[in-house]
Amino acid sequence: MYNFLFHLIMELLGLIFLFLSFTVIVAYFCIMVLSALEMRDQRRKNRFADYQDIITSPMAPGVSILAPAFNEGASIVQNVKSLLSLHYGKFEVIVINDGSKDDTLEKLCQGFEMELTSYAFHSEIASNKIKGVYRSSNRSFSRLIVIDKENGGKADALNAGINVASMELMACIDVDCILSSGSITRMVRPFMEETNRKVIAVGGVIGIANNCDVQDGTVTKYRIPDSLLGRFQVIEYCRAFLMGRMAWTRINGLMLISGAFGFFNRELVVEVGGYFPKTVGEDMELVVRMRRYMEEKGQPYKVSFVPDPLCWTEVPEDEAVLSRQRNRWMRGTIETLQLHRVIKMNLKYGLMGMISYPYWSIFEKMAPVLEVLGLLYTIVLISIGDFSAFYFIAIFVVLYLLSILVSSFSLLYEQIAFNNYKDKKDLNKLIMTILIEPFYIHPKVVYWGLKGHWDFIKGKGGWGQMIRTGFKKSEDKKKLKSTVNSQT
Amino acid sequence: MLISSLVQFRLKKDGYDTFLVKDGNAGILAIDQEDPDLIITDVMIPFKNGIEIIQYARKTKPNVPIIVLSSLGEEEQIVLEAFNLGVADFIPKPFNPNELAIRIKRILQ
Amino acid sequence: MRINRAKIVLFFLLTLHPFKMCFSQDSIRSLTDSTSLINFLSNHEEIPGLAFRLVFSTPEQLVTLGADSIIDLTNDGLAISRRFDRLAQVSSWKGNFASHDSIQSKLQFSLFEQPVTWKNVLKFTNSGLANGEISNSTTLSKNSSDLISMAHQAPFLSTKKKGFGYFSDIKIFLITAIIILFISVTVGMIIYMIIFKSNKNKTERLRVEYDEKIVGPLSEILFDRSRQELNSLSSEELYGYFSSDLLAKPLFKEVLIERILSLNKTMKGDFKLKLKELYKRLEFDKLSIRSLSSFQWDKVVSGLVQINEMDLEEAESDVKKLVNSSNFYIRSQAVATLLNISKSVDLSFLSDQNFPLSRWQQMNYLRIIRYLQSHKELKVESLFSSANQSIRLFGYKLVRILGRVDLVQLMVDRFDEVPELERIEMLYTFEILGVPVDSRLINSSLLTSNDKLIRRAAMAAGQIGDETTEKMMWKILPTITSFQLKKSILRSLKTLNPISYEAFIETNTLLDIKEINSHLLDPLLQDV
Repeated sequence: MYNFLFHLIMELLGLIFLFLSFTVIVAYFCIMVLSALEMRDQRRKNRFADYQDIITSPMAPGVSILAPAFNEGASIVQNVKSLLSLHYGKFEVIVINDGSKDDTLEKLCQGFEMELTSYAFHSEIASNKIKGVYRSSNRSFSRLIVIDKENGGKADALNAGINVASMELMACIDVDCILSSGSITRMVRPFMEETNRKVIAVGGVIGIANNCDVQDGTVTKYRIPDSLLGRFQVIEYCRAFLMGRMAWTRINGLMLISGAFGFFNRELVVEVGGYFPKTVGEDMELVVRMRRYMEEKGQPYKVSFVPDPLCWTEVPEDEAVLSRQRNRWMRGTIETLQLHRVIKMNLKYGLMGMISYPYWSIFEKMAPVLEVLGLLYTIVLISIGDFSAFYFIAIFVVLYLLSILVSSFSLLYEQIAFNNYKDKKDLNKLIMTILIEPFYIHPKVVYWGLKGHWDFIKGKGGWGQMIRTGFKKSEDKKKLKSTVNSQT
Repeated sequence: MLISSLVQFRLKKDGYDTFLVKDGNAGILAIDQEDPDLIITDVMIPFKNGIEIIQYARKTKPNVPIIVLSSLGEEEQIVLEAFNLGVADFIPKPFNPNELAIRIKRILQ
Repeated sequence: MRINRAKIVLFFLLTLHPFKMCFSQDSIRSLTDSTSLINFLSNHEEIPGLAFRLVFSTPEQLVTLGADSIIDLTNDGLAISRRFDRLAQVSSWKGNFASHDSIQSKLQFSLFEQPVTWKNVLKFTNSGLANGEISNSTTLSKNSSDLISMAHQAPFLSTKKKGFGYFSDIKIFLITAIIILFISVTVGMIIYMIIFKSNKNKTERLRVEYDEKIVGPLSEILFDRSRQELNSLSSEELYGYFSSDLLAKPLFKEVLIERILSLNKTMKGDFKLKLKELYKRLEFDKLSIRSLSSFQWDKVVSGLVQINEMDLEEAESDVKKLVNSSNFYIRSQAVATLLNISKSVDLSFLSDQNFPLSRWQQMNYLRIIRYLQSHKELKVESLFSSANQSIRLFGYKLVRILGRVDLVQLMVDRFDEVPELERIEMLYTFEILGVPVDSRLINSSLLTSNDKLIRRAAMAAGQIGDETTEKMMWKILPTITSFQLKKSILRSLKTLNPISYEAFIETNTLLDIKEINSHLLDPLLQDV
């Protein structure tokens, strides 16, 4: 009897895995096609865009750049200087000193002649205590505002910045990112172009600056990083950022915008209650909440994406740092998906609920778990001498080939779109990385993902209880404010 | 680039010896190495702000006149800054190359 | 009891029976004569070692018949067929000569290549049947599993586990289908991309090449020739500058057009006219107009841009047709072009737009209109009566940015009829232009429940309010809950009448009022 049951289960599992593999293949095909179409349209549009005009036109929206800073004393003045010299007419730079323990604030005050003001504001969004708002007495730095506050984490710092921001749009960036001088003009365009739908957020691409020559805020010479991990991240950048997000944008299903370079409609962010500081994936959580809000209100909207290389940062090449980053990403993903469980397969939430959420749930969140299970399954099949094991080994071979082909496609995609990595030797190294990745690096990524799951279950870092109950409506974040305030 | 080439062509015809650079960094090098009698620059150029070029030129070669071309319009902050630094002339885009040639002649006299 | 036990025993016997699957041999057959032997062998599969041949007594007849060459000759000179492993084969081969009764043939048996008599074969077969080497089955079955069961007298067990039998075929099919589909499509895509990329590289190189080829001749034409000369230039001389085979290439034409256009943007005066002349001489204007009817939207838009830059007024009617196109870019560029080349000052094509106007479009049109202001007297007021709200809003913005103070009265007249969103825009315009309008407009706006409207009215009041406005502000301030709104109102009050403002601050002890006051007094925060 048990024999029969066992075989039945194995049979069912086999079918499930087969179905999953099939879905993965189909999904990747769709991504490749959609992203190609979107890129073609974007390039055509770019030909007719006069970016120079936006810089000074009165029709262009104002932008508040929010840059939280924590212990950035060493390079803060340099970074802020480059931010202040972006090519745009109407913008302000708000640096939020999140209770730095070093001399960040002093450096800022010295470098830009900042003085304390009697700024009166009302916390539309809750944040930790703000100790002071500074402005410069030097007219050349009139665009700069510095907020000094008690430490509360990145989301909290951003919330404080949102309270002070006065422009129509807000851009959340990491202060150590390098922005090219035309970034604002390019990112602002989707907000200006749409006629029928409200653009609530625009995401950008974060390029990899490791080993590249950077001068005056632009990368002058592209080189791939030296380490294998670095090169893997270049491939991932082509595949996940460039191809993946372009595909999602085409069907308006983009659920994640990088916290290091994202533009938002400020008023809407205030309406949904700002960032939620109790999650490690605050960037994704905000976007999902904003989307939910628009769906619940029934207003047509779009989350847009600009693929041009406008922002660069140094990515971790050290394995310890990278593993922590991936752990954090996984926990953030799980937390966000958990918080917004309501939208799962819920027709009321349109495409986001029916396609984006399940995709993220299965292929991003559960991916490491499923992969390990699939591997175990095949091993079991082999050990009991079942002929079907052969099929599943074949599936693994197919998936390996798929991974190579998708990565190569994404690399070609980058070549056609931007052609930044021109050096033949670099390209060869990248191809080698593509071939090795599934064997050498992917298992590590899977392991880090699993560890992320484990850490989440143990309740590390996040705010366990709240996350387990989730948000029933997007407005729940605001109600949260009162419970937070009453508890702290 | 084409405009610069065109201007260069015109100036060559008038008998001037010209040196054309593509961006701000090359421009600074050229100011050092070529020892020009006149500098013509735009305000928005790759890698460096035009103002930085002007500042550099004023510092290292204070006697060399500078002509600034710009499409930003005369009210712009940057243009005012340029004037404060002491440029010889300012020509807004769109411009007439013949006019440019006349002004150059006048300045170099 | 006994009967029950008997029943049980009987039941057992019956149930035992199925488990005796192939162990049993129902009856050991024994063949007795040649007929039963032939019968048995005719219906039987090949028996190892046993072979059959046909011997013919009249070879000449076979020759005349042209029997196939599998016939040999025995030592006695008799024709003998090839070896057959099954008797059934012999019968069917023999059927070839069925029509020829005269052919006499005899069956010859052989065991292990030795010719034997039927009696030997009978003995052989019987002993084979007895010890199980020859199976009893008389049906010729094609099932391979039967073959195996013939070979071993073992019970039949499926080599695949129970249940998998259902799905095995589908799995193979699915997986092979997936693999084939997948590989073919992806390989196809990659090949396509590689071809695309190499084409792109080639185009890039050609562009650079053409660029270099263009600079020289273009500069020469522009600087050396006057306009009249250009006009009267013969075709040969023109081709002397640009070789005719280069001009025939579409990419070259494209690059040349782009260069002419970019120069046109940055030059003025005589040069612009020369460039226009050159454009016409090279017949590029016809090219531009033709591209308006292309199916690809980016080609249409390129054509529109060219027409725009080159002021090809003759294309006006063609451009008008595209003004309400469903493609955003075509629409946007068509209106922009029309604004430029149209001789009429009436902006009706703009006010007749069905689609909402995006800010991007507004930016572009503003730039054009601003430029045109100096040449033409544009009827901006026609936008006010458009059915499209975004166009009306654009109209008010234009009044503000262009400083058309003459149109303010028209706006004031419409103020009460328009929705609140438009009133906000109007108030902003009044504020920026600094035109004193009836304070009733501001005061009534302050009393509404629309926060944005109140805010805008408050901000305008600072510039263009009067005493009534001041009193109104005093009245509503206690009722306002929004911090931002309070700040705006107080700021305006301060600008309008500092004394009144001071008085208000004195009398009011609320904390946030105090904060706002310090904020407003702070010199560093003047613009925030």
